[in-house]
Parts: sequence; structure tokens; C-alpha cells
Amino acid sequence: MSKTTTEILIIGAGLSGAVTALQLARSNIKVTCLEQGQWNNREDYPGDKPDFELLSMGPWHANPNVRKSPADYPILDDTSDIKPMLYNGVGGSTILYSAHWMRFLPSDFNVHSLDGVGKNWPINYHDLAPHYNQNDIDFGVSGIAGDPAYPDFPEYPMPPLPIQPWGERVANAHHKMGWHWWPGSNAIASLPYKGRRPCVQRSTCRAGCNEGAKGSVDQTHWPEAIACGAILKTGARVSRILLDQHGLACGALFKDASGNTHQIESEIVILASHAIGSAQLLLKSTSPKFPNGLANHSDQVGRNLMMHPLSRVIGFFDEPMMSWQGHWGQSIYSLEFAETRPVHDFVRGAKWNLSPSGGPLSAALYPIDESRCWGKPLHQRIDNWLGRSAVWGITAEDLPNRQNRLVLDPNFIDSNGDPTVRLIYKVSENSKRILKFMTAKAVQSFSEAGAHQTSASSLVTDNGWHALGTCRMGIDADQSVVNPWLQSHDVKNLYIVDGSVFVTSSSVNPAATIAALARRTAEYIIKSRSTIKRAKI
Amino acid sequence: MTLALSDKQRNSFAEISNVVYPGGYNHPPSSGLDIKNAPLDHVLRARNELVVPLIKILNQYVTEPNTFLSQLEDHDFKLIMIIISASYLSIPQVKESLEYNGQQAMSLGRSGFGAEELVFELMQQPKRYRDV
Repeated sequence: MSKTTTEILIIGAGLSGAVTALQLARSNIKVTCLEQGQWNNREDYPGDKPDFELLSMGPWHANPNVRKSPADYPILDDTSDIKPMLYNGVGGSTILYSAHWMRFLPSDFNVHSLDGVGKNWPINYHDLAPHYNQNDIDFGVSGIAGDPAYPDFPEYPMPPLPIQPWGERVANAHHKMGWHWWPGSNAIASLPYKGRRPCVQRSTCRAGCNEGAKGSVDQTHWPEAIACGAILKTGARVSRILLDQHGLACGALFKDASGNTHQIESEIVILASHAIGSAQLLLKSTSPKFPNGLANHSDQVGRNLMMHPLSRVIGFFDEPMMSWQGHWGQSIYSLEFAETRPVHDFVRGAKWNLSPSGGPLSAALYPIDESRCWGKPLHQRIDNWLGRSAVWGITAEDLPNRQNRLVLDPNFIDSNGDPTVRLIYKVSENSKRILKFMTAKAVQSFSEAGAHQTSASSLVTDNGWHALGTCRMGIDADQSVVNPWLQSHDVKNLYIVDGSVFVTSSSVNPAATIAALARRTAEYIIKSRSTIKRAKI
Repeated sequence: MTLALSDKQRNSFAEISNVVYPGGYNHPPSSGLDIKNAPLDHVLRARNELVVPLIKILNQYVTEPNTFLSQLEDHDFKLIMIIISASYLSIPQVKESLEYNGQQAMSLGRSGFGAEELVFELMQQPKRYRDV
């Protein structure tokens, strides 16, 4: 078994790991990151190939249980209403994400005080605002500031991408109805930016961006982090975090792609492995001091899993709009129904984002689970859909529930001989009511915009992009896993910087907030470098 | 390269495809497109993990296509629809009928993002977030 050392070990090279590594490396801190997947070549992404939709349904599917890449680990999901969507590799899920770049609303941090549900965050919007601002520059976000749904913040580094004919139709409709809308903010370049090419509107963002226009962290962060001295080891799957005699994290065991075990020693350990991966690793890292999993004296590790239930409404228009092109990526978004209103039969609300509707295979098949259609009706469906439709994606704010969780299932053993992670997740009654209300309103939106027909799905199960909450942040060490600096209550030199630390989910896409939290913690570590707890190695 | 489907299996595939895509709305019928050969092979080269499950499904085909499709389990129905649709929609005549030429790289216009005048109106509106 080989042994190496580093000052700070980061586990996971996705969004939060990259943001953290870059900040630390910019301050000349010795960082090593272990990533179970590999680098991708942009040329290999299927988006610019004729079979991109076919490949996106298989080897480039966002569900690791469908994709089954060697970098993926199995996730038992038959006990979950929503299936996990993520990517393992340098860049993590930013490789396949849609790059919707949304800040939390100020109220999202105080849902208990305002609406009597969930828990308050121990930090607020203004704590994160400077980090949102800086990350907008690092990620290269396009958009326009001034949305009245938010406090003022600096202009984005690039102007918005075109909102497209379907966006203009819906924007005009919302304007007439007095409903909120705003041009989409996306981590997608609309101009040449820091060596990235601008978006070419191929609308294949969720199959990887061949142009490098999308702000995936293999493009935006890792090259600079490595140039600053960060070490990134790929094909390195961590099996266990190690603990020293003082109860401090002192490194990790990992396996390389050939199955050989290695040890890395570190003074500080930072987990950045996704809400599923991080909680899984903590639960696997048992010891006499932590028999229920590392940093888990609160029994909160793995609990409060939130997955952002999503519904979808498609609007069909008479006029051809080439709606297989564009960015995917949001054309526009609406926060009209994001906040609690007394007249609703639910609390909190949803964020809407308008997208193009995909190519011919999407027109023929999506969503294949909901209708068995062939013959003339299938031709009619394709004729209606292809190029003439747009999609409202509606994300419900998911509230924490300790019964929604991930556990290790000893009945299923993974390739390391460890129990496999199992998701146990039920969509709440509140979320169901949100989605029911929102789909009706989205139908109204499209109708007002001139759609001759709409089609609504009340819950899209294959859409668990936003797993959150499994190592939540809090002041009370008996009720949370990390403190407001994302430092473990139990293991003082262990930090968790991914979406697992979310206290509640907001209804907006979490990437910008994950990145802001990670950056804030990295800056805390840098400022406290001489005083923070470290293992002696 | 010829993939490992027998003539009988290919004929079954064609019969089913002809019912799934009989033609209409200016789209050509599958029956005139030799879907069972080059288009099917194209799909199975791209997704060769589908060959074995497809053969398994086609080997069950004994009745007329509509009944067969109606009786397929969800998983098998989904799989055969993906293969048939991807085969059919990859054929140049079909793409032409759809006026679809693939996902093209396009230059971004420089005339603005659209609906600017509405955005400037919205900017003048009072803030609507709940300050806390």
C-alpha cells in the first residue's frame, strides 16, 4: 500500500471540490483532490453527433444506474420516488447539468421563522452575497441583474443568452398577466470569456458542452487550480476516512482503477462528494468512536434528503420555432409562485424555468413512461412537438423530513465489498400540492402565450438532480452535522462543502449556492489557517 | 459490419416498425425505408448493449404487431420504442420530412436577448422579495 501526504485532502472533483480547491490553491495551500472518475475530452461528448439523444439515453444518461460507467457506484433507488441524477468524473455533475445559475431568495434561509416549516439556516443571504458575486465571475455567468425578485447585486459578467421565440411569447404573456419572469441566468458564456467559446445554441447542454461554453468546473476551475499547485488524482475511489487517536481526520484510504489500495495522510479533510456520496462515505467510515458513521453523533448523517420534486408542462404552438435549438439552460425563469401565500393549500412554492424541447427522439418518446403511443398518433405527436414546443420545468421547494434519507443496505455489496447506498424518499403531500397548483398555472401561462395545446406531467421521477440535506448545517450539534463554516461538529478538522449541508432546499437550482458555500468555507480556512484544528501527520 | 440478428428477427423488427411508423403528417412510412438493415445497424452500433435485449424481445414476437406492442412489459416496450424510433428518425428521408437537420452550431445574434423593453419596465417595479 502506497502512502502520500498533503496539507488538505479534498474528496471529489465536482462543483464544490473545484471551487474549494481553486480558492485554497490560489493561497498556495497544498491541496490534493481524489476523484473516482476521469477527465473527459469535450470532443467525446455526444452533443455534436447525430445520435446525441440516443447516447443520452444510455452511456451519457445522467442516472448512474442507467449509465453504469466504471466511475459510478450503485445507488439502490427502488425505495425512492425520485431517481438520482449525477455524474462522477472531473467536473462532477457540472458536466451534464443545465447550468441554471440561481441565487437563493433571502426568505429561503428563514423558512421556519417566516412560514413555520423546516428549519432556519444559521446564515443568511447577505452572508453568501459576496461569494455569489465572485463565483459569477469565476463561472462566467450570463444574465442581467435587476430582477425585482432579488436584492440588488452586481451585473453578470456577460449579457443574457437570447430568450428565443418561445421565451418572448411567454414573457409577453406574463407581462400581460402581471406575473414575474426574468431572462435566464446561466453559467453559459454568451461571449468569448476567459478562453471559453460562446454558446452555439445546440441545445445539448445536458450531454456535455462540446464548445466549452458551459461553466463546468473542469473548464472553469481545475486548470487554474492545477496551475496554482493543486494535485488532482483521478480514478481514486475513497473507501474510508481515517481518524487519528485524537479523533481528528487524518486522511483516507482509496482504491485506484486497478483495485489497489492506497493511503493518503492529510492535516485537514474536506468532503465534496455530493449529498449522496458524502453521506455514504461518512456512514461507511465507522470506528469505535463513531460506530454509526463518522461525524454522526447527531444521527443526522444521511437524513433530511431533499430531491426537488419536478413537474413539467409542455406548450405546443402553431408556428415553427426551431425549438430543438437554443440553450438548455433556461430561456427565462419565473418566481411568481416561489413564496408562501395564505390562499394556497401548501407552504413555500416553486421555481419555473423555460427550456427548448429537444430533438426528434424527445419528440417521439419523452416521456415514454406516461403514454403508449404508436401509429398515426405518434406521427402527429412528433409533428406537434418537434420545433414547435417549449417546456416549463417546475421545481418544488422540498422540505426536510428525517424519514427521507439514505442508508447503507447490507443486503447489497458493492465492488469494494461494502454495503450499497439506498435512497429512501417519498414526495411529501406539500410538494404534491405545490406541483398540482403549479402545473395548472403553467398551463395558463402557455395558453396566454398562444399555445394551442399543453401537456402536463405532475411528477417527473427521472429527475433527481438536486440531492440535498444529508449532512445539514446548524448551530445545535445534536441536530446537525456541520456548523455554519461547514466544519463537522464532531471532527474539528473535517469539512463538508457540497449540497449535503443544505438546511432547506429553496425552490431554485442549488449549484450557485453550493458554490458560494464552498467558497465561503475555503476563505474561512485560508483566514484561519494558523489557528484551525489539524491532524498531526 | 452485420450485427448478430437473424433474418427472421430483422423481419420481425420491420413488421413492428411498420406499425409504429405507418407514415402520416408528411412523414414517410417505415415500410419503404429498409429500416431493418442499415438504420437498425446504425443504432445498434451506437448502443451495442441493446442487441441482446432486443433479440430477446423479438424472439417473443409471434402475433400481429399491435397486439404484441400492447402486451409488452413497460421496460421492453420502452426499449423497443427507443430502437425503432432512433432507427426511423436517423433516416435521411425522415429527417427531410421533419425539416430537421440535426443540432446545428449557430452564431449568437448581436441584436440583443429579446424582450428588452419589458425587462427595462420590470426593473422599475418595486422589489418583491421578502426581506428578513
